[in-house]
Amino acid sequence: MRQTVPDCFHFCGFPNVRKANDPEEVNALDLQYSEAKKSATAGNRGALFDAYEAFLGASVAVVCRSLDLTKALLSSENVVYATYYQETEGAGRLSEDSLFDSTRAATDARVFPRYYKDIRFGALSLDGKGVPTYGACSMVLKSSAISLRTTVFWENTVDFCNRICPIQKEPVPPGYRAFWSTRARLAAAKGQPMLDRQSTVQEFAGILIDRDVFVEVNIYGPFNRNSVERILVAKPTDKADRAVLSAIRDVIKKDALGIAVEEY
Amino acid sequence: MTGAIVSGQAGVAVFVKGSQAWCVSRQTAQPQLISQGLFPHLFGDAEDARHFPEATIDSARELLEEACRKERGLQLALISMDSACSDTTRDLSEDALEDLLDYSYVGEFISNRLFSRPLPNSSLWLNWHSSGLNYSKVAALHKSVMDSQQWILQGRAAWDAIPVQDFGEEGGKPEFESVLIETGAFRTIAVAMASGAKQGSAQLQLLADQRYKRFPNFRHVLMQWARVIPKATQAGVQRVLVEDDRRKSDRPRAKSKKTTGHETFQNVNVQKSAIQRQLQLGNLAQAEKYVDELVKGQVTSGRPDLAAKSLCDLAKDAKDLGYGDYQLTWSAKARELSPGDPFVHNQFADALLGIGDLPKALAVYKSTASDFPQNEVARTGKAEVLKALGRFPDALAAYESTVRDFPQNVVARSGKAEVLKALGRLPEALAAYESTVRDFPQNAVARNGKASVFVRMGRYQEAEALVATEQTQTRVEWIALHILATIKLKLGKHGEAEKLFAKGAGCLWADVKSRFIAAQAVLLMDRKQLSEADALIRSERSLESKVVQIDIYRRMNRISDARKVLLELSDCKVASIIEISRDLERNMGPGPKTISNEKFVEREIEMLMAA
Repeated sequence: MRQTVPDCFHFCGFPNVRKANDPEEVNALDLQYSEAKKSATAGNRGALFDAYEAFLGASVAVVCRSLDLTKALLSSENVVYATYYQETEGAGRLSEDSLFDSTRAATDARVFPRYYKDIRFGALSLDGKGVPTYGACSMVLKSSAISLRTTVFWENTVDFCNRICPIQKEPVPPGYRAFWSTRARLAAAKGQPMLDRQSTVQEFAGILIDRDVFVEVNIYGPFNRNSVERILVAKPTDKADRAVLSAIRDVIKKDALGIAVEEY
Repeated sequence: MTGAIVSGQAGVAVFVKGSQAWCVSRQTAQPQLISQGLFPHLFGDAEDARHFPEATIDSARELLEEACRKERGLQLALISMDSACSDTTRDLSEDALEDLLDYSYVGEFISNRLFSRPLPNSSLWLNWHSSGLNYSKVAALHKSVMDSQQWILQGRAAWDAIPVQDFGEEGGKPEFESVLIETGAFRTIAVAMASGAKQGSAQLQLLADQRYKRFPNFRHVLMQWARVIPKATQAGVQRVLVEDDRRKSDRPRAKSKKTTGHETFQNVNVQKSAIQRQLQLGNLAQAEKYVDELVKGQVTSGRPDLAAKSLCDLAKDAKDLGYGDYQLTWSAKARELSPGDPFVHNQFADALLGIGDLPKALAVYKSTASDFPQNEVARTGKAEVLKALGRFPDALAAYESTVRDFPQNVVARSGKAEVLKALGRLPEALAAYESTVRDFPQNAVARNGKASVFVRMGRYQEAEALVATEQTQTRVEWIALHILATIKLKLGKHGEAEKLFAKGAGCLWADVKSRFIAAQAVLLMDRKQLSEADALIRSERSLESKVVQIDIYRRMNRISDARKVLLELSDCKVASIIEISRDLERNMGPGPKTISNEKFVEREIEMLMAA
């Protein structure tokens, strides 16, 4: 996908960010946001909405992996977090000719046309914990490593397209994606209906990631262990998990990666 | 798509049915219905995701547990040898690995990978001694990997030396390599070299594996791989020793012992090859002389145990070449030299079984099984003899107890199915074979057994599908070809059957070849070409061929000749042989016949297929 202007080779931005910056997208998101805020205010939840949005300003991108895969990523600088397509096109990964795979490819080609093979997926999180189904280990990515090339989407893109625009030939409606610095507006607009007057600050994290429903983070290009800021992992319950977690701590210490490991 | 996709690395299994999917993970007790959008990303960077089309939502969890144990075991082994890890971490990992090694498949999974290339110089395992490890199973794994480093290096070098062009298509070599690693072929090569097994047997083992047959040129590649190893041995070992010298300069005594051991090993291999060649050429006196020299040399150097192992290897070669008497003599000698080794007793019992001395074979297997209760070969051998004696309930009980104690023993499981077949409990036999084939898809013996049950049930098309290939590199492939020929015969395709039976003349295994020749003789006999049938079978020595010979003489009215052959079988205790030869005797000479000629043909064909 083109990232430079052909005549002057000036960098013209990452394609996902350019798409989110498209005036049509920006205007549609502004409209969503305004309506959400209006609705919250009308329901006497305006302050809560503002508080939620303020918290979302500090939200982080999280990818979840099993302990084994986390250790593999941290073991060397040369290991990069692969995309789904790099895995299936490589020899290592089984590529099932399944309904799910074809749906994934079809959706990605609609949402991220021509550059979908460069997109890595994660979730937006307030407490650093990601979508547990993806793996027990949540890796929080450094904002500095991703902010310029990351956008967020309303929800999992496949589920979104299946629900909102199931006809493949129809365009994906605007207003459901945002670039990194405006992620709070999108997430606040999405979460507004769930904000109850009784909601507490502690519950905000559960509104942002409600089991498998979350705001999807779309990162253009690779990242490696140097992009990881901290790791959150459930307290290991067996010897093997303890050993692998201990090995993760060892490699962080030995290579001075400065990654904090938190058990919960 | 239905079934489950399972990844031990990701710690996730997804069960799919139609357009719905459920996620099974180690973190959750119950499967969770998941959306389509989650599905592809659940496996993250995992490289081990596998599809199990037959899996159910319940079995998906079991498959996941197994996959996780395997991957976790490998991770822990790697942590154990990782110099970047702290002592605490390594101790934790060895403790956890010790538990996981209770599952035999975990050890196999790890070994298959660790045997695929030499350990890197940075690996801590290179500097450790197994006896210094606190955990016995981890120590055993360490020892097996360390003892094989030189062979692993050679196996890897031999593989790397095969030109990429030989693999037909771009990317063919790495793909083939990943399957070879997964299936333990590198380990097979290394173990074959370490144990002094012949190049041929390693080749045969590799060629028999169905999983390699989808790769273009697989036969050539595997033959080349196995062949190039001995040529590379000298240089490869020298390289290892030089590296060893550098690495372990503080251990000169161990170094010099290794060199001597290897040279001896090389010499023994050369001697064994020479003996095998003399047997093939029929120079028996020369073969005997070489055997004496080999044994004398090993005994003189204070290693009667190795002499016994050499004799057993040679006994097995002799058996394959049809020299049952040599198998008996050499394995008997091996027993004298190394009475504490169950391997030699089993080889001796096998020789007794081969010559039809079933009571003695049973006694030897029994005493070996009692002295070495963990020896699976002795236990399956005992069951096999009981089956041959026609003591089917006893045989079934023996196989069942072995299966109970060693559920991964494919010989015991196939044997149990075979006995059920002999008892006429065909649906049970089929079920037993089916479960064996499911658990050991690469096991051709079980597949052949299943095909023979289908033949007995008259389900010829299903049988044919299992033995459809006409490839004949290994013993089991020849047996499959024999079954295929029998199916053609049952289907009335006599021409095709005859052609396939005639192909058996090229079989290298004397006992299997004898079946093909006997089947040809039966067909000639059925067409009343009795003299031709007689000429074909006369020099055959197997028990089954004697039965066919009796029938031919019976039909030629050469009753005294038939009785002479009957006399040769008088000591035979094999139930199926006794039964048919007794019926033949009753139907000799004048007088009414209780069994028709056609029925005898049918029974003989059956006997040859079951043999």
